[in-house]
Amino acid sequence: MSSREQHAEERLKRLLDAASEQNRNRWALQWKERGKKVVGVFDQYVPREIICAAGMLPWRVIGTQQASTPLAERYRPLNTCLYCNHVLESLLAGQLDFLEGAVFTDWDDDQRRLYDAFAYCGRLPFNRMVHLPHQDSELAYQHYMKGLAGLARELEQLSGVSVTDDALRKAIEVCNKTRRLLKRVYALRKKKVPPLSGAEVLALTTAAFVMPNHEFNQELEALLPYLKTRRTSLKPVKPRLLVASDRLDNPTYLQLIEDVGCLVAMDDIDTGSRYFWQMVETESGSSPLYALSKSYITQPACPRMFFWERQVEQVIAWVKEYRCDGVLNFPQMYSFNRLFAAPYFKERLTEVGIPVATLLREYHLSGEGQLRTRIGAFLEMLQ
Amino acid sequence: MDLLEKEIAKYERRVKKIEDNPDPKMMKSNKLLYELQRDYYKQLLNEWQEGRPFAYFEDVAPYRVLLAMGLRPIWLEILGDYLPRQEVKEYLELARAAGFPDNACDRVQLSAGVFLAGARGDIPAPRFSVTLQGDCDGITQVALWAGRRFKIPFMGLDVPFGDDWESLKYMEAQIRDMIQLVEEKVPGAHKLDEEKLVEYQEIEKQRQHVEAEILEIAKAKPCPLAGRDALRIPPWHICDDPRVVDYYREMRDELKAKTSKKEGIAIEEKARVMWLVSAPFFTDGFRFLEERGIAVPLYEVGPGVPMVRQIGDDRQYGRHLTPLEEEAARCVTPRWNGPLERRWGDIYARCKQYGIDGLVHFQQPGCQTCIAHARVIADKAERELGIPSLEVEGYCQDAERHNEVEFANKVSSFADWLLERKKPDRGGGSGSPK
Ligand code: SF4
Ligand code: SF4
Repeated sequence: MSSREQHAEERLKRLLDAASEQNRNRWALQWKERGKKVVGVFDQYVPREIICAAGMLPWRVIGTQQASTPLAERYRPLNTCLYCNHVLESLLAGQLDFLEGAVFTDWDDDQRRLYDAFAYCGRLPFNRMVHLPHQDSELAYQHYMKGLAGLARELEQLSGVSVTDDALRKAIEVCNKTRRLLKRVYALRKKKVPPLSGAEVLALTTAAFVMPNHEFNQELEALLPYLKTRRTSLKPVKPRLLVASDRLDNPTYLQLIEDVGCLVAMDDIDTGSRYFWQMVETESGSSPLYALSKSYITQPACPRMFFWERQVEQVIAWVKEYRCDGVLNFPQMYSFNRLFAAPYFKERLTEVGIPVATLLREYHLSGEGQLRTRIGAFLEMLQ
Repeated sequence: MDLLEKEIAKYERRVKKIEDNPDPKMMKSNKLLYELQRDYYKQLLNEWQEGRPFAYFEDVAPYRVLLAMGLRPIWLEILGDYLPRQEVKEYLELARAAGFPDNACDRVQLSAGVFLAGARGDIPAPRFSVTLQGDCDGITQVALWAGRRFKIPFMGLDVPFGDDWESLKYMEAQIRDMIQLVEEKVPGAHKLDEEKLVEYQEIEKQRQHVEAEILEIAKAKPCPLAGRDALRIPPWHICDDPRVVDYYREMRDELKAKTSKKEGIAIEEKARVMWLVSAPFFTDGFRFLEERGIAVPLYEVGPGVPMVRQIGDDRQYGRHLTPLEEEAARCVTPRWNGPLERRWGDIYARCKQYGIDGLVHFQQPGCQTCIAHARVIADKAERELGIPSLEVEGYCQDAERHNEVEFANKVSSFADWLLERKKPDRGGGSGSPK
């Protein structure tokens, strides 16, 4: 490895480590030191652009990876969403005290109740939940746009910065650049020997959650030429998998899958492809809030939306494009929307000849032995 | 058809039992309720044989509109609620075998089982399926899955957080879309007959009117209403039979008579609790309270609780609503939707009105909308009302998973503790039992 390559490799490693437990607050804290505010977001449907336009840093909340959540249990029993419990634990342990506020959508029943716990315990000064429509229709875009307008007004009050159309357009431009860059990385995943493993890609997309977009863009743009030529220890690995999940923000899970003997060549995860796939199209003369509303509603869907067909068809298209041999549906054990959709998901994939397995997981890494065995059995079937 | 015939026979037996040998502990008006149920199933059977088009729906999707368009709506969840024990077991297995999550709420699983049973001919197959997403992900997804399974037109209506005018109009626009879809795509459906819709709304309005009286009566001490009757969700699925109003009148009169004789469920009423969420349907879980002198006059989503829009209440929006606006208003009322304040506002007001001493929060595994809420509500109840709460796990329908001993122990010890706490020399104490 040349010294230039070595330097690039180190830079890449730093970027891939940005969302690790020890690093992920770094940019937020620097931001605060400059007298600015940081706002937590919880899912793929809260437009970062609005928070940016209000002069604040949107910070996608990742929960603690510790096994138990004793503080959160005061508000939520253990048999509820594990992501929510771990996030609440982080909040109550003071790990999120740098946040000025938190913005939620009613992604599902569990997250709605997470909002309630956040608002009730009052640890953060600002908590807001916006209703996200379940349909894809003009009516839904208009409705969501109104909700986002309300959010923008409240964020203005929080930050003291007005959310102008101009500021929104600029924020859209910066976030679209992130999307474009990440798409270029994803294009490299189509190679027989991609430059990044599935776990590394997840580390990269989650880095984009915790860094200011322009800084992330700068880093990734500088690293792209290197990524195109990066030689890794990866061999042409078969089988190639597509992993589908929600709130999978711990790359170690994908590492575990890959260690069993496959490559995660593509994902359908809100912390991965779904986070950046859809560009926000601003038509001249139309309101940027409308553009945000429409683009966020029509991005590759999670099973919470009413249009499962589109979600499954997107997965089928990705399987072909990324030459995947099978799909691992990998929900958390109380991620009910994904579980409810699982029979339909399986039926449709089977119809087009794509093997699929559904395995349940926790939020923090756990049950590795059993997971390895089950993943092994699925991979064996694929071969 | 077997299932409908079994249901008809079940209610025939119940009616006969009341006629031959009535249980003095049960309400006499139950006879009419059972007759209504029996006739409802008879009607389903006849219409099925005659080839009437059916629709499936969940939550409070606008079923009266469907009926006024010539479809017979079947409420999957409610049909599941009334199933005989053997079918419960069988339908749960059906859902699980199809890959439906077995850690979901058992009512949701059962709902899925019901439509899967429809696919094999136990109940009429639908030509349309509709749901709305308000407060329960599971119930919503079941109706959408049903639509996909049967490859029929289907629709999910999106419910906003509030019940303000704008929310109502958003809802109404979606109902209009639904009407258009049904008109264009559902064979056998006809244009909306608005007169019919008004007729069905009128039945419900009258029922609600009597129900409000029942709720007033339930405030009396000792409380004449048994927990199991408070739990009874109104037979909303029977929306075109005016005898529903008669049933409520009979129930009201019976309760009135009890009140005037100072007859209560608990011999000597010492305390009263509000029961939240749901309860086992196959056993009387309230008896552990009632036999200790604790009444359950109020169930969170039971009769009369303003989870439901009161038809014709012109004060709410400052003017008389059109029939479709009424339907839309009904859809945006459920308080489990949206943030905590909506649900808590109702609980708080009811606790005050009824002099409630404690809350029992039924924890149904898989019901995320409630179990992930219980502790925050308990905390608020303690702080704002000074009343304790019990969290007790159980199942509505899945008797095999329900741990009756543990359930009984928990409810009983809460009851004892509550009474102890109420003793004047204890000064009211605070905290909740372990
Ligand atoms: S989708 Fe899953 S992870 Fe996300 S809030 Fe719901 S239950 Fe939790
Ligand atoms: S008990 Fe909860 S999960 Fe079950 S049907 Fe009712 S709201 Fe849905």
